[in-house]
Amino acid sequence: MNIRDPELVDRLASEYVLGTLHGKARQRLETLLIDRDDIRRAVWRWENRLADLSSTTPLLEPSKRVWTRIGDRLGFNDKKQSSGSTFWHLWSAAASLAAVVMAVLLITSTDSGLSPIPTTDNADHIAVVGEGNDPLWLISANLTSGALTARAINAQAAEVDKVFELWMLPTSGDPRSIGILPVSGNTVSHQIPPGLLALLKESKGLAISIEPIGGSPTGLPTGPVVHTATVVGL
Amino acid sequence: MNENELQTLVARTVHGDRVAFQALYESTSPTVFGVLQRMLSDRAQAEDVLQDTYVKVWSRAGEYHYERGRVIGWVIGIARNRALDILRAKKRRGEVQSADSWPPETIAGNSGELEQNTVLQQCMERLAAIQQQSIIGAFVHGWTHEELAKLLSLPVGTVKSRIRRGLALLKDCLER
Repeated sequence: MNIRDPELVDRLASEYVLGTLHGKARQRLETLLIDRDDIRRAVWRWENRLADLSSTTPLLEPSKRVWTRIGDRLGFNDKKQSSGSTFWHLWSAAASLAAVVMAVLLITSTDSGLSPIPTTDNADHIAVVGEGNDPLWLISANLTSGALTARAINAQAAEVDKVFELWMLPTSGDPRSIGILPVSGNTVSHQIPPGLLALLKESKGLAISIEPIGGSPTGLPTGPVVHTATVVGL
Repeated sequence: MNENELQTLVARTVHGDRVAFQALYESTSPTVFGVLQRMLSDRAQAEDVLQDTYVKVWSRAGEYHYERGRVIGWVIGIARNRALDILRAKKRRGEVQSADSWPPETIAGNSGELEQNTVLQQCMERLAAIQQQSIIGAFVHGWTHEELAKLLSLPVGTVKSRIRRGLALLKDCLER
C-alpha cells in the first residue's frame, strides 16, 4: 500500500477521524502522524469537516466536580507547591553555572567564523544555555514586543519520547512555561503574553527541564532540570 | 465565544494561564460532554473522558495552531479518540449494547437539534439515507463497519464502500 498517494492519505485520514479505521491500520496511521505532515494535515481537515456533526448532539453541562478533578490532576488545587519546592532546590544548585554561560554568549556572538545565528528582531535581552564552549541554545527576546526566539546551537533531542521545556523563574511563585525548545539546529519563535512578560522582566532567570512530548502535563516542571541561564540586557 | 477568542485562550493556555484555560473549558466543555455522553451512554464514563481530554488540552495546547482549523474540532478530536478507545475495550468485554437497538439516524432526523443550517448539514442532506446513517452512526456513536452492516442488513463490504463514497461526496460538496 502506497501511503504517499494523496488520495489514499485522504481516505485513511477520513476513516481515522470518522472512527472506522481500526486495529493495526489505526495504529499504523497514528505512528505515521508523528512525522508525516501531509497525513497530519489531512486528519486536521477531516476533523474540521466533521466537527459540525457534533452539533446534532445536544449541549450537556458537565457537573462542577469535573473541573475540580481536572484542577486536582494538574496541580491547580495544591497549595503546598511541592513540585515547585523541588524545582527551586534544583535551580539553586545549578545557578552557579550562570557566569560560565555568559562567557559563552560573548564567544558565540562575536565569532566571525560562524554563520549568523537567528535572533529576535530588535532583541534587547539574550540568554545562552550551555556549559563551557558547548552552547546548546541561544535565546533572544524583545521585552517590549514580547517576541522571543530560541535557536538550538548544539542541542540534540533528549530522548525519543522527551522534549526540552523552557521555564521562566519569577522572583516568587512557581516557574512559568515559555514553551518547548527546538533541537538539531532548528529555531522556534514564541510570543510572550503581556502577563508573563511583566514577570520575565523581573525574573531570576531561565531553566530547562526534560518533559514528556507535548510538555509538562501539570503546568510545572515534572522532569529533571538540566540547565539554567541568566537573562542579560543588551 | 468566537473562534478568535477561543484561539487566544489556547495561546494563553500554552503559557500556563489557568484563567484562560478555565474559560476555554467553560466555553467548550458542554459541546464536548454532549458528544461524549452520546458516544458512551454513560455519564460517569463521559465525565472521566472529559477530564482526560482537558488534561491533554492543557499539556498539548502548544500543538494547536490556527492551521489545524477550529479549536472545537481539535478538542472534540482529542475527546473522540479517547472515547473510541474505551468503546472498543467495552465491546471486547461485551459491555456495550448491540447495534440492534440503534434507531438509524439521518441528518433530517436530527435537524431539530441543530442550532443553524450548517454547510455540513446541507451537504449531508445530499447523501443517500444509508450513507447519512452510516456516517452519523460511526461518528456520533462509534459503531464499527461490522455493527453498521448488521444494523443496516448489508454486507460489510457494501457498508465500507458506501461510507467511502459518502465521505468523498461530502468532501466535494464542502469544498465547493
